[in-house]
Amino acid sequence: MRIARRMAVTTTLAVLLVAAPAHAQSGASLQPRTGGTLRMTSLPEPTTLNPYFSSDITIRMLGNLNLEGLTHVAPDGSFVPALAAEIPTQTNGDVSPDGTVVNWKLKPDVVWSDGEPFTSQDVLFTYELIMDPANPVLDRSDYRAMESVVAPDNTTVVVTYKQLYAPYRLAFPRIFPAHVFNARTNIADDPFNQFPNVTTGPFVLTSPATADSITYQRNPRYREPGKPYVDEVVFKFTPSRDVAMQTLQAGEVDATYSLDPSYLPQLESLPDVRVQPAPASVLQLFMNESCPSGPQQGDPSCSHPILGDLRVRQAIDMAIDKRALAQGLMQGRVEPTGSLLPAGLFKVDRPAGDFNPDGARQLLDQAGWIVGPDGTRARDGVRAHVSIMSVIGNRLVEQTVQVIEGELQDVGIETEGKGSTLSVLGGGFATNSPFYLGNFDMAVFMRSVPVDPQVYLYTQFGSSQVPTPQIQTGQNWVRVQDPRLDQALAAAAGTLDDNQRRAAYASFSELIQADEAVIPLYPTLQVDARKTYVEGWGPTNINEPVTWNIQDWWLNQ
Amino acid sequence: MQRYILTRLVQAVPLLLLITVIVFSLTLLLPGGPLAEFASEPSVSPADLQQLRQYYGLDEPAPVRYLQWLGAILHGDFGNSSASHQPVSTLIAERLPNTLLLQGIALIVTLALAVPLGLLAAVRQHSWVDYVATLLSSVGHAIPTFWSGLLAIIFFSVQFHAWGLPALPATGMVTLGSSGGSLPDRMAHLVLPVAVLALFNASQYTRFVRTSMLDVLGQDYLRTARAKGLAERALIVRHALRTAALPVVTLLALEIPTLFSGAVVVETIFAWPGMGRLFLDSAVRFDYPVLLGLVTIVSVLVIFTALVCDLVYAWLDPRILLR
Repeated sequence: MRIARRMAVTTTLAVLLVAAPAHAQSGASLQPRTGGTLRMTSLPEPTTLNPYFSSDITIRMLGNLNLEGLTHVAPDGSFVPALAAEIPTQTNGDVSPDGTVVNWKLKPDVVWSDGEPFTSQDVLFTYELIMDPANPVLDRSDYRAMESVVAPDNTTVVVTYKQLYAPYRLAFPRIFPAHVFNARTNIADDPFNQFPNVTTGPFVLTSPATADSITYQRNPRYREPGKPYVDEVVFKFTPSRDVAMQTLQAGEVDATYSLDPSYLPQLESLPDVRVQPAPASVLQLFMNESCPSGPQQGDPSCSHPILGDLRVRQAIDMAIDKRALAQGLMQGRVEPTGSLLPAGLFKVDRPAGDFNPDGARQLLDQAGWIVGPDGTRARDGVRAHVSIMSVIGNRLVEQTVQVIEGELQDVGIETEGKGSTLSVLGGGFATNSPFYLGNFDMAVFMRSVPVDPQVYLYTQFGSSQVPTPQIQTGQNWVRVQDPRLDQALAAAAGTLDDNQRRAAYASFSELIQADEAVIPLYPTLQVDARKTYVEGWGPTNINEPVTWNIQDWWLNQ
Repeated sequence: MQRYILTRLVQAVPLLLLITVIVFSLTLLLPGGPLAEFASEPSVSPADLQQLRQYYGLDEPAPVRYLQWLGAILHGDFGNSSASHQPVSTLIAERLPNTLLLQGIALIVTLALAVPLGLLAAVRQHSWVDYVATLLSSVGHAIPTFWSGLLAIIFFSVQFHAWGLPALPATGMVTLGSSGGSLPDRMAHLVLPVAVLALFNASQYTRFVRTSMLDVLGQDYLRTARAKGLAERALIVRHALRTAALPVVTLLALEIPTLFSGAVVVETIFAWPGMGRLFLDSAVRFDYPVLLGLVTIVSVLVIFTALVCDLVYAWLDPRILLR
């Protein structure tokens, strides 16, 4: 009965897919209506509302309602001014020719929700707050790169970098009100973290979160006249994603986000629900090129007995049917990709490696891996036996690993699945993480596509980023060391010109795909859903949670 | 009696200390830690991680941390959550009433269902009532709450809503927005989680009451009572039930702590902001202060309820002597 229902649902889905674009266009021409309460789920409930203290997507999603920064990221990955008047570039003269001095001009006449003016002093205060060692700030890397931050006048902030810093536009994504704290920068235990009630965004908090919901009210002092359209936005803390979808269906909420892609057919069969799935993180298979055990464990100069050979890595790529994975697990809504940057400002298009199990077998034969009597290959007495590590508890990852195991066994490579928690796998030397120690063969891991990929790519593939007990930094878990990769990454880091950077990332992508240390499998889908009467909802943005344009949402009912 | 209570309370002190040592050691054995998840993010630098480690006091040796923590709770300070930086006592005070409400009502409903049903099944053994009760309790206990909870939501919230029937709320304690918060609204939100919890527990209790009652019904003193002409009703309610209640009280005593600790699964499914969810969330986030605080408080409550139950035993069965 379950299967029959699923099939019925898939048929309706096809019909809906054709109908959907026409509907979306007609919605855009309507005149927005003001008023009403929008109800959304929040998964899970936030621990803090201070975005500098947490990397949780929920906190960024809620922060979009009331907190603002210099810029925000548009769905195509480009930077759009928020509290800044414009994005400083070398072309408009706001970035010095050597790229080290950035002049941020702020929007004049912006006021905080309590009526106080927003000025450059608030940006300065935010900088001091981030740098105060007493605050549990997660990530100061964008600010450590700064030499100084000064405010020559009320609407100008001058940031001087120690050296050219390509991701300079990431600075100050949220700005805190200086006047509320009276220059006190240690705010680790401040109630403001739980209840940020003086803000500049389209909505404000007038009462703290309760145990099961948080309510945002319209900010009458919001800088865009007539906006936001909705009077009130309520988020209901719903810990289970399965239940979040049910509450949308039951009419308890008007919108929900980050649902499991396997629900897509069911969601699309609902006449009063609209979904806009968009690619989000990329699921990757990566391989350890260094010795997985012994005295030289994790040492790039000691080659992995099986995976150290490029032909074996190529064969593994060929043995895996990326298209079938994307088709089966992402409902055919994504194309497999050969790129680690399939979306965003520095998007690189690369086709996924071909699925060719026969070619894989030939390559393995050539490499000297001969099929034994039990069907598993061996060379010089070494069995082609590899383990695949993955994070337990993620349905998508588990299913992907199962498929890959079957396909590798099919070409004569024996596999062994090993699951662990994210905190163990990625926890660094403190948790004896196999990725850091180098005692692993292969791993399936999900990684998000960053807004600015420089730090992300450098820490994963820079020659100097191989983690060792002496230098515990770096996440070059695959232990690839290639001067050409270093050159491409240096080229991208050495310029502020987006086109030059894009070209550098393109050549980087080509090199890393040829090395086969990482096989991008397919992009996962970000599934946000809403009732049809919620209008103004922008395209799902991979860099910002769905609420990025909440000021434009309105209720057509 | 007073002496007995005092002895038990004094005995509880080393027990509690032992519990805190065990729980604290368990947190050390857990792979990972509150900072481990950040380590895999390329943007979080080792320097920041070191600073965070200091902030959370993780750079101190474990015994020092334990003694610091113990010293603080003796002053009534459970510390701050490492995830939200809020006082642990605030978090618990916020959740405890919600859990007590849900679990308390569920327990009352459980007993209201299980005791009459189990009684009837025992008195009319091998009748259709008995067979139906046995079947229902087997089925009820075999279905896990995460499954029955989802089914209940799909049927009573989603489908009823689709059919235009008065649907029951699926999640939370009150309806969002201004319409929520009235007594009928709050009661409607209790229906599904209470029903799921109570049906699951009642299926276990029904069988227990039935078995215990059957044991008692076959005893000589009841035959004597019956021979002396005691009415069947009085015989069962006044003489048999009181004896049969003893093992049920044992089961209840084991159940009482969940009044405080909450039901992790049901609270997660029905988005009920209770202690079970707080525990789960803290465990997932390696929020040691909250975990330790929860376990300590629940342990105190368990020890206390165990004592109360022993006192109830004595009252139910005068043969039990307390020393």
